[in-house]
Amino acid sequence: MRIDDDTLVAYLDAQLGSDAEYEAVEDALAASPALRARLQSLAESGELARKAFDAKLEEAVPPQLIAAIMNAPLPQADTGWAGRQPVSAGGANDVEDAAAGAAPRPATPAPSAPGAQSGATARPAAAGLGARLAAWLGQGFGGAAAFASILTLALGALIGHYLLPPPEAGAPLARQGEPIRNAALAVALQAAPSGLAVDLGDARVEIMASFTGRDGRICREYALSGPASGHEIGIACRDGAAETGWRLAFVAHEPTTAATEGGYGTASDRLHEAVDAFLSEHVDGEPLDAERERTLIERGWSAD
Amino acid sequence: MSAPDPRAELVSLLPRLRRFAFGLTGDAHVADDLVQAGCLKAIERWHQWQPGTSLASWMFRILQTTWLDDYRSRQRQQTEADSEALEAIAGEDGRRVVEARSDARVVRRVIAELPEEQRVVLMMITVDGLSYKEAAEALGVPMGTVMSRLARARARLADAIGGEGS
Repeated sequence: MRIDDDTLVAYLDAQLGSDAEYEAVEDALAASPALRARLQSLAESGELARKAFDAKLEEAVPPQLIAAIMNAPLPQADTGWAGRQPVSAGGANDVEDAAAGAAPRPATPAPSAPGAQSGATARPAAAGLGARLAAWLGQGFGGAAAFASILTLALGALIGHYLLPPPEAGAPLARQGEPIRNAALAVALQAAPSGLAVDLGDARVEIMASFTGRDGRICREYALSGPASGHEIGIACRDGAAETGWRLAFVAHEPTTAATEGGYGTASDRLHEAVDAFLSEHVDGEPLDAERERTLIERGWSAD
Repeated sequence: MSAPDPRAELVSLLPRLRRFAFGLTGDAHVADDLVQAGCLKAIERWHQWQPGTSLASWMFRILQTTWLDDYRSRQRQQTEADSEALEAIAGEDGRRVVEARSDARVVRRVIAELPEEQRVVLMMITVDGLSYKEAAEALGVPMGTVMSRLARARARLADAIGGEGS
């Protein structure tokens, strides 16, 4: 049997149809040094092609590109996503009013940098995703936590589930002062304009407002809600030492109550009061206007 | 479970889309423009995507058709310039060529020189890791066609770059 390049390449790619075909190729290889040499050089060609583009995968994605996509309007199609899930309908809106009124200013400076442990060296697509998140965030955001959370994002699973196994009322999903580790939330903080709700499957996160604090750091308030994750309002501030670039300055959480079971519901007055108290203590001034916010998103939140 | 936001789905694919577009266009800036245009197009037509199928394959297809329709004619001169650069390198003395063999830029130039239909399957399968079946579905061509395009691409690359061993 004559073995051509098509067959050798399919052999290398493990894409032959049957065991008999593999055996035929292996018999021919055993018999022919020239065929083995050809196989070798075809294998090298694949390796070179991959290596030639490796760097592209690790490169930081331009924030303008992320922002352009996150800012794109969703079509009001009668099928598919938009029809079932109106973007900005639902519970979080009254929170936004409250937050926009109480002009912000941040908070507790956050201490120690977390050691960004990077363990994801495996090749498979799923393992690569953690590294890819690191690439778009342009930071050393690797390791198992990143891997798990980017999978969560990719699969559209419940981000609240990853963040908080809801215990009792008021228990925060991540502690104040800790870096934001959840990939979906980090991407929303990094790229979403205020007022945009990003639906992640079973939960929705909405960025409420951005503001500059007394210490000059930029912070963003978000509201997270979902049937299983409950309600959470958090304030995250820029911190270069945090793996994702964001650290949680304040968070208030409450589980889903019977009244809101099965829906997105709204956060209680108590939750709003907690946030307002924090804001009035740490913030005086107006939230950033949309134009300034957009500039910062496109710049990746770096200072001027 | 309700469907996730298409925008978040696309953002999570950006590194792969940028790599594919870079291979397709041979130019980093054009590639990012193309990715942006392709993603906006995908959001508009999101209802056409079938959940459960590979979003990456669907996006590669959109990027390729967008490139064909809107961008490629503007890039012809650039491609000609690249091929001249390649000839210049090929004409250098043997030692330098050997040194340059592993240079990613040289490999990318060789890939840029491939016929587009071969370049696309090389980027989809060899670089990105799609199966032959996924690539065939994305391109709407038979598996055998994918197989022979890919083999021709790999053979050209092997012959252009690999010296010894063949």
